[in-house]
Amino acid sequence: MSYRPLDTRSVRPPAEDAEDHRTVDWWGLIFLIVVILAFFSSVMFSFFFLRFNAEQWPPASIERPTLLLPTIATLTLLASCLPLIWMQRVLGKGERPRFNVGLGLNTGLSVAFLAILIVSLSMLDFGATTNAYGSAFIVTVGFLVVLAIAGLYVGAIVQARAWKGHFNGPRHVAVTSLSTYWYVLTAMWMVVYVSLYLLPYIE
Amino acid sequence: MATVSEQTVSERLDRLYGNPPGFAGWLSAVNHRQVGARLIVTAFIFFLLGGIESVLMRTQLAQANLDVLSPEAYNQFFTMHGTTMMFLFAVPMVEGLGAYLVPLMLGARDMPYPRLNAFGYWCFLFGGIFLYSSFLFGMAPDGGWFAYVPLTGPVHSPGLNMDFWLLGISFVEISAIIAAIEIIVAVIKTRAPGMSANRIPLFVWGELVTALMIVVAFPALLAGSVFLELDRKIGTHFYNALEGGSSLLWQHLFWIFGHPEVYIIFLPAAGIVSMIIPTFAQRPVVGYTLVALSTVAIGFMSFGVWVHHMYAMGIPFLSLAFFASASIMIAIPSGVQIFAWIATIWTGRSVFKTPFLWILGFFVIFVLGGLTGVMVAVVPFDLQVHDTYFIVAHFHYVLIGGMVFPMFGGFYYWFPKLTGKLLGEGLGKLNFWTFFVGFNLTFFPMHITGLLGMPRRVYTYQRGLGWEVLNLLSTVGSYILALSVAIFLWNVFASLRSGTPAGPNPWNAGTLEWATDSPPKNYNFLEIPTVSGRYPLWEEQDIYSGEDIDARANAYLVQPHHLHRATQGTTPLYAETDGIIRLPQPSMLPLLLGFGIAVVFGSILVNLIVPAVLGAIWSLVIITIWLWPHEGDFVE
Repeated sequence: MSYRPLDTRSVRPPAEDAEDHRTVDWWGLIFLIVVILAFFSSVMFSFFFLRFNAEQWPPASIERPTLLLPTIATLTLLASCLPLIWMQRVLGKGERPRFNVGLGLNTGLSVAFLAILIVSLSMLDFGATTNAYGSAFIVTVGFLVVLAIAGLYVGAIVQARAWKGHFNGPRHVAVTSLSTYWYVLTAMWMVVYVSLYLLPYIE
Repeated sequence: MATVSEQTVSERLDRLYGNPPGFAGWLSAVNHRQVGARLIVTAFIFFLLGGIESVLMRTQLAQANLDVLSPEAYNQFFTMHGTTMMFLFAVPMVEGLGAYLVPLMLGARDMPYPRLNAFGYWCFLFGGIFLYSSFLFGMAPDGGWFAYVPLTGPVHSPGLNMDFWLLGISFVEISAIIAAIEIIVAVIKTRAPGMSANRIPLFVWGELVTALMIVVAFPALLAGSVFLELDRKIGTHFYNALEGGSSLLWQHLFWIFGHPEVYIIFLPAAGIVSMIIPTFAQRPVVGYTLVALSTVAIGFMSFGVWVHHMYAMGIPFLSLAFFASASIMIAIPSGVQIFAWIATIWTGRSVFKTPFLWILGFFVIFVLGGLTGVMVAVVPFDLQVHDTYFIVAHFHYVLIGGMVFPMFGGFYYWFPKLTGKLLGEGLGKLNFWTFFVGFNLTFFPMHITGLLGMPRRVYTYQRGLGWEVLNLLSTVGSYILALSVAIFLWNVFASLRSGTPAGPNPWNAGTLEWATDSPPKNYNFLEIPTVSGRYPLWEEQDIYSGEDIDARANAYLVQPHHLHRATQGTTPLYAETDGIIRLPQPSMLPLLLGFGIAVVFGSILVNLIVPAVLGAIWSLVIITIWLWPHEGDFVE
C-alpha cells in the first residue's frame, strides 16, 4: 500500500466546529426518533384497528373520559416547548445563566404535565384490564408517559452537564437532541389527545 | 517538514484501535471487526442448533407413526427451529457481516457508535441464551415461530413457554434495531471521500436498505409482543375477542414485520451476490444503477405485501386483490437484479472458484423458490396449499436459496479477509455439491407431499396416504445437508490450522475491503483512501491521492500524539470530507447495560418485582455514565 509521509504539524481536524446536523450524534437521534415513531404508529394502528372492530367505542358500559384535566395537561406540554425554543436561542449567544433557567422551566412544566396526566388517568372509571378499549387506552397513554419520563431523565443529565459548564463551546448537540426529542414527543401527544380524548366528543 | 515512519505509525495505531489485554479487555471490546466476528460466529452456532432441531424433526417424520419425539417436543422443536433460524441466525448473521464488512468497504476505521455496537451484540447473546435456557426447564416455546393468538394467549398457553419466546425475541429485536441504526449512520456519514451515493458497493446498498427496513418493521413486532405479554401477565384484552380484542390484530402486527423480514434477510444476501459475481466475472456489474434502485424498490414494496400471509383469514376481496398484485409486482425488481447478474456473468470471463459455485447454486434454487412464490401469490392456489408442505418447500427454497447459499458463498469469499487464510477449494466444492444435492433431496419432495395434502406442523402421519417414500427422501436429504455443514466446519478448521495464506487481495477484487491487509490491522486503513469509481482497486488512479481537505484529515488521523480513536466524517450524498468523528475507547458499559436489561427481562418472566426494579435502576445508572462525556471528548 502506498504511504506518503505526512506533515504532522497540520493537526487541526477539518471543520472542528461542525454544526449539529453534521455529527453522528444528530443522525443517531434521527433514527432513534424513526424507531419511536414506528412503534407509535403500530400502537395507533392497533388502537384504530380495535376501534373499527368494535360496535361501539368506547363500549356502552364506559363513560367517555372527561376533557378538563387532559386539556390542561396538553396546554402545559405545549407551554413546556416554549422555554426550549428560547433556550436554544440564548445558548447560541452564549448566555449560560438564562439557558439554565430555560432548561429548568422546561423541566418544571414537563413534570406538571406528567402529574396532571397521571391524576387524570387515576380518575378514569376503567382500567387496562376492563376490556380491549381500556387496554388500548391505558397502554397508548402509558407509552407516552414512559417516553416523557425517559425524556425527563435525559433532561436531568443535560441539566447536570449544563451546571458543569459543558455547553460553553460552539457545539451543543446534547441540547439540540433533547429539544428535538421533546418536540417529537409533543407532536405524538397531540395525536393521542385528538384520537383518544377529542374524537369521542366530535363524533 | 517533520515526518514519521510508516512502521511507527502503524504499530501505534494498531495498539490504539486494539483491545486492552486480558479477559477484561476481551469483554470490553468495541472494535467493529471484533463485534462483527462475534455476531457471525454466534449466529452460526445458532444456525447449527436450528439445524440439529430440524434433523431431529426429519428423523421423527422419516416413517409413519414414529416415536422419536413426543408431540409436545415436536411442537417445541418446530417453533424453536423457525425462531432460531429467523431471529437468532439470519438477522444477526446479515448484521454481523454488515458490522464486519461495511466499514471496510466504505474505507472507515470503525462504525460511528462502537459501544452501541458492542451493546447490540450482548443483547443478542443474552436474548439467545434466554430463549434457549427454556429447554433446561422443559418449557421451550411451542406456539409456532409466528406465535398466533389465541393459541399463544393466556388461556391456551398458560405455561411460561410463550413468555420465554416473547421476552427473548424482544431482547433480540433491540439488538437488531441497534445494529441497524449503526449501519445506516455508518453508510450516511463514514464513507471514504469520493464515494458518492452512486459508487457505494452493492453489498452496502443491500445492508442499508435492510437496516432501514429493520428500523421501520421491527417496532411493529415489538409493539405486538408487548401487547401479548401484557395480555399474558397483567390481563389486558388486546387479543381477547370476548372483551373486544381481536386475534387478527396480532397477525397484522406480526406480518407487517414478518414479510419485510423476508427481504431483510434477502437483500444483504443479494448484495453478496452483487459483490461476488463482478469479482469472478472480472468486470464491473452490469446495470449498477438498476440493481441499486431495485434494492430500494424491493425495500419499499415489501411493506405492501404482508397480507399475502393471511389470505385464508377472511380479508375483504378488494384488499386481497391489492395485496396479490403487490406480491406479483415485487417479482419485477427481483427479476431486474437476476437479469443484471446474468448479464454480468455472460459478458465476463468467469473463474469457477467455490464462492462463485455457491452463487450459481443460489440462482437455481432461488429462481425455483421464486416460481412457487408466484404460484402462491395467486389467491385460489394459495387457499388450496395453505398450511401444507408445499409452503414449507416454497419458503425453504426462497430462504435457503436466497440467503444461505449466498452466505456460504460469502464465507468462502471473505474468509481470507477475516483470517488471512484461504478455505480449501477441494473441500469447498465437496461442501457445495453435497449441500446442493442434500437441499434438493430434502425440499423438492415436499412440494409433492404438500400437493398430496400433508399439513405442516404435524408430528406424525398415517400409513397408506402415499407420503412415506417422499418423507423418507426428505429425511435422507436432511442428513446429507448435515454432512455438508460438517464438511464446511472441517474446512474451516483445516484452513485455520494449515490454510494457504491469502494475501490482501486473493481474488483480484475491486472494492475497498481488499485494499487492507488480511486480516486487517485494528485500524483498518492507515490513511483513508479517496475513491473515484465503483471499483477503486481496478482503477488506474492512486486511491491515496485526495483533495487538500482529505490530506488534512488523514494527517490528523495518523498524527503521532493524538490518543483517541477517530474516523473520517463525510457528507451524506457526495461524500466530501466534513470533519473528524471522534470514537470512544473500549468499555465495559455495553456488557453491564446488557446485563441490567437481562435481569429486568428475567425478572418479568418469573414475576419478580424487586429484581426487575433493581435491574432497571442499574441500567439507568449505566446509561448515565455512558452519556457523560469522557475527558478529552470534543468540547461542546
